[in-house]
Amino acid sequence: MNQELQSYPSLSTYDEVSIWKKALHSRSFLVGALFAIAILVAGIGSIFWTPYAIDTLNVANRLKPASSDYWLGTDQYGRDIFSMLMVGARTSIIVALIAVGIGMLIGVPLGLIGAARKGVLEELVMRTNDLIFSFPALLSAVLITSIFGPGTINAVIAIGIFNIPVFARVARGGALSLSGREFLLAARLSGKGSLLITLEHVIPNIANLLIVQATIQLSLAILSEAGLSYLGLGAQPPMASWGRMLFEAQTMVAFAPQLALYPGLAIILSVLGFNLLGDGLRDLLDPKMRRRVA
Amino acid sequence: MLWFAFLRLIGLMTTLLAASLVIFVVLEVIPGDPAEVMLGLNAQADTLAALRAELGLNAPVYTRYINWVLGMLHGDFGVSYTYSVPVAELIGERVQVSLPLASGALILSTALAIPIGVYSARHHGKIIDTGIMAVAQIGIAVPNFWIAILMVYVFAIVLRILPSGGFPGWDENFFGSLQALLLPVIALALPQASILARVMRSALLDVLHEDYIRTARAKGLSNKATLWRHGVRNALIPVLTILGLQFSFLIAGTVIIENAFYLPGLGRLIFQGITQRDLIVVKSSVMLLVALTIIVTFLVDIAYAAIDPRLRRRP
Repeated sequence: MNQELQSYPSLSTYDEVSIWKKALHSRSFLVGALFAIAILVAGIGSIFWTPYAIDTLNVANRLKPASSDYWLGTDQYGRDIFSMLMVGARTSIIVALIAVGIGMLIGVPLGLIGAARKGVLEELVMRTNDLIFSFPALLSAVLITSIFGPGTINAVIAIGIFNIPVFARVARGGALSLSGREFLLAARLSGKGSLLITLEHVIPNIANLLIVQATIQLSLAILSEAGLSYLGLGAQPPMASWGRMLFEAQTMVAFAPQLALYPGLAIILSVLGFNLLGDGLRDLLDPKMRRRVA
Repeated sequence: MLWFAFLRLIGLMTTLLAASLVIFVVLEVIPGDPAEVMLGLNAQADTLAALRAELGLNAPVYTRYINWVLGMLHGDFGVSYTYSVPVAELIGERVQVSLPLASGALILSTALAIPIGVYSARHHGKIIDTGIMAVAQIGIAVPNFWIAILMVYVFAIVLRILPSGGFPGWDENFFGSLQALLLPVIALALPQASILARVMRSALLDVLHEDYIRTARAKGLSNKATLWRHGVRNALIPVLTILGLQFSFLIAGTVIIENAFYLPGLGRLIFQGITQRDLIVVKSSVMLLVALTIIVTFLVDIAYAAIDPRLRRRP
């Protein structure tokens, strides 16, 4: 039984102290966590404080260079770029968290049902999965926008929908890899039903897989949100978002190329951060899945 | 194999049908009156009635759905409301931009990723490998439209050697059209290449541990021949899978990049469709892109099963 736990470590049963010790030596985990925390702090901080308000346009202040007053300068409408980047971090994080949350809340139960019940139901779940998968987040957003108009909520829904099949796949795969194992048979013998077994034994054992996947999906969601708001399908002014900042910067690129620089770097930093965090977590939580990616 | 292909073909048909149903419901049933969506809230009653008659909206929902699907099967995608041209004609024009763009990006990213991935795997653990993988890790995080903006700045504004956007048309100016597609193809290909190079590298590293690699070396095959004939060929299977999965990202990327470079492709068409509230254009072009994604997934599945017989068991 001890060996079983070794090969399928879960957060609660595994030696937590050694995981944290290892975490301090994992470069991907540390760098990823650092970037992710920086973005989180900027985003949450923007709720309470930004150097300047971003919803007031002050054209007299337009295109100021970086200075001690405006740390990164101002844009063509006189808004402080640093403040916009902070609010943009908030938009990215909120959209990504809710979208990935939707994907998990709907996808994981679907995947578990697919794994627990063979036959027609499983087939139905998997085909629905394929169907959703053929609607890239961008096309869903296009469909939603053409009826309801653009907005942050559309972006959340569109990205969330695209996350459903991803989590269904991971949950189903994880659950199937557990099927037939002794501790599940023991639970069945002790009289537990499918639902109870799933809740008490399957979910805790695939939690690591889901956490790792969620981290990766967060980075994808940030990238998708940027793409959608770049196209004008996401956050609308006065709300700032990195993608929209890039869209506005594009028209000014001949006169003020620096405007295009900062939002791009912010996107790269956060996507890179969550990707590295995911890689690091994968190595730490699931030694079996350790990849040879530096 | 035939039975497997047949089962998958039925699956393909069902998925296509279900997708068309989803698109139809979202665009025609949920809004209640599509004519009102297209004309806006201030439309006159008689204009609304005229558009309803023109679009055949007075017929029952299921008749409209069946007519739409049957029409598409005959190549009839409806008539664009804003352009007053058959949508099929518009799509035919726009595909001349989107297809070279998407396939160019696909070819460039594969051509970059495979040699880089192989090179990195061969130098596994050395500084050059770590360096390449660090660059690839960053490449995955870079949005393609950001690369687009930066390249426009460098090549069109500072160096003035390439156009910043627009498309002259193949017949008018063939060389100019190629030039116009150069930056968009690169912007689309670089993030894809980063992902593929990583997959290629780790797939090859996995394969190189297999017994048949040792056997090949033992029977006297040179290192290089073993790598390419036995290593790379086997490692290409996961790369093919990722290529298939990436296809929907490629389509989304095409839509974004066409907007970044003002290219008159399918993506711009969909976009103009939204801003002009031309639901007929949106409906048919989204269906086309979704169908393309579904068909590519199907082909990858079949190709996969043809390469690896173990996968035929569970369709």
